[in-house]
Amino acid sequence: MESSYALMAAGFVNALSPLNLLIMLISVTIGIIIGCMPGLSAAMGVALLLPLTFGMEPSTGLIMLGGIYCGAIFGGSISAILIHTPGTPASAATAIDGYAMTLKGKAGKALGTACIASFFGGLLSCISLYFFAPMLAQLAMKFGSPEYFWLSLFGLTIIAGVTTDSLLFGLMSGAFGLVLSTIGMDPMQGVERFMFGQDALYSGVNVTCSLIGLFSMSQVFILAEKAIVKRADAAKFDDSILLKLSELKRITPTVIRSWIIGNLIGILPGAGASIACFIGYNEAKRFSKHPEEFGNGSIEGIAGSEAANNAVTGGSLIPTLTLGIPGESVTAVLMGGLIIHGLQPGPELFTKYAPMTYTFFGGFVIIQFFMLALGLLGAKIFAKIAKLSDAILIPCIFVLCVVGSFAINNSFTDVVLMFIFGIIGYLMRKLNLNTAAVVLALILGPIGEKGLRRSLALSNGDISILFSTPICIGLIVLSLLSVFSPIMMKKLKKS
Amino acid sequence: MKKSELSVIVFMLLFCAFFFYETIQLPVLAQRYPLFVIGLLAFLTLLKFFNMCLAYMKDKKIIDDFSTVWKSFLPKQFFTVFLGFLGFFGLMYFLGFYIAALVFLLFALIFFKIPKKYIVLTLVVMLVIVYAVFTWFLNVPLPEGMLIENFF
Repeated sequence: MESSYALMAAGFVNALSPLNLLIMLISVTIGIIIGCMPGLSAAMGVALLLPLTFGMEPSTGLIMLGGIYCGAIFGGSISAILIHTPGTPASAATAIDGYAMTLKGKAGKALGTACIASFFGGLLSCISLYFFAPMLAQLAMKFGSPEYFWLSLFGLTIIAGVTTDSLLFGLMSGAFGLVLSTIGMDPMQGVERFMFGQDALYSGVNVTCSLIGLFSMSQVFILAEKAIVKRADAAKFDDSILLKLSELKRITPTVIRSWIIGNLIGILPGAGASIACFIGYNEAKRFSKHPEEFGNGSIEGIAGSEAANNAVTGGSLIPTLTLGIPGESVTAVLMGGLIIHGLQPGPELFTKYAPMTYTFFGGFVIIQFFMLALGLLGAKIFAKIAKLSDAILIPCIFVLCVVGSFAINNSFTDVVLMFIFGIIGYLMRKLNLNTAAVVLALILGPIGEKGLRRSLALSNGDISILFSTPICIGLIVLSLLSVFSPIMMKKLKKS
Repeated sequence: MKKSELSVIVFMLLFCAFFFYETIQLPVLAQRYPLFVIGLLAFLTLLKFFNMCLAYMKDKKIIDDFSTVWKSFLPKQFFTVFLGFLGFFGLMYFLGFYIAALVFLLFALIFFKIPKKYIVLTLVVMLVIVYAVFTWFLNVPLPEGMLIENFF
């Protein structure tokens, strides 16, 4: 335990290095800008900027991705409050009371509430990240090949089931990704599979290319197909962005409640910030002494939604880092970033690579302070940037997609691969399939394949090895439960 | 039964058939895992198709939802931009990344009728960002272009 505290302290000190602080400032700023632009998502931003982390230390790279993630989740509230259009789905509930306050000339107060609630939601979520992640990692130490096979299947069922309207379409997306993950050299037999004479496919489909293609390039196509609409002017405001002590006292219980809600939703793989914000908002209304204010401009409503969606960030990193099961698409991209740096999610992150992991955790805490400062000081500037036209974004994001995918191996083949995945992602999104499930399958597919084939090799082909331990049975039960989770989620959303 | 869903079913089955054909060319031991995942995809696709058939038996109608799926689609704008992307790749191959990026950004911004001062601002900001991050910070040797390399 003592060594854990020492690692935490050392990680915190490492995170405070000038380079890390500069990266936090830049990444949170970029994240807020991406978040406050309706149409751009946190996953798209993280995928687009993933190649920038290649030249960095893994911890610095992860801090950068974490900064974009947190910044984007908070940034969505700026456009939700000022132009009544949530920048990301995570701020949908914030728009209800945030915009009502803007109409009453209290936009500054609304932004201040969103900022402070986001800060505390994010900061408190770090507590669970620090304490639950190592515990879960210890459990993962008991995993062998059969467990890893079931774990990858569990991860796939979760994300495939939750994010699309049709459960079967979600699962089909995952299976489609699994077939694509077989491209490359066979890990056991050493024969070429589906490489079509392309040496670049020797080690399989490049995950970064697919991430950029499926999340960022597909977004370019989505923006390019629609008429360019002029964004509404952000409301101007002159009222104070700072909250009074009485207002802080009023939102404190709501923030704490939403932190618990958001954190639990984050830890449970499959849900996400978009669900958390509504549950946080509803609970804030239920417990409020002034429920009549909700819908007409309640600071508790904003605090409930914003604290919950930011509390998801730390929580969702727990299953991602310990078990390799990303809770939502952003963490799937973050996991891709981890793998690109040669790190596998699991117990090793808390043993062999513990200094790196705890530096990232320390950075994640400090990121919240940057988010608070940038949110309070720069809200007016970010509101102006939110007006940036899609007509400018389309060519700029495309150029960044090209240069980012080229930078992976300095290869034109990767650019072509990214473009192909962009087209696939675009068509999938149009036809209601799940792009996050494909990415996850590309990441988890090889892990599952190795787990399955090694297990069968160990047991001379006897499949009972896959059902031989309590952990295997537990994972099978969880997989089955997760397949049915969309039905439960729909009920939660309705309530 | 929706036509868009039917198109997904057809695509997935063709995809499975193609990969199945490729798989049976492999040595027997290397066939097992790909066959397992192809089988999984085919099973899920057929299950979805079965569900759709049940819905059809109930409603007795096939909904043409392509007009909804492609409601916001502007073919002229989309394909011009798409051709611009392909043109960018061609230019990048022959003239290098920076010239291609400059020409493409200029073309796209003029096409979208962006005011001149914003065009200049976007070009400067984008090229400076790409140079600072990729060429200077990450040392990525961005393509110089076949023609440039041969003549200079």
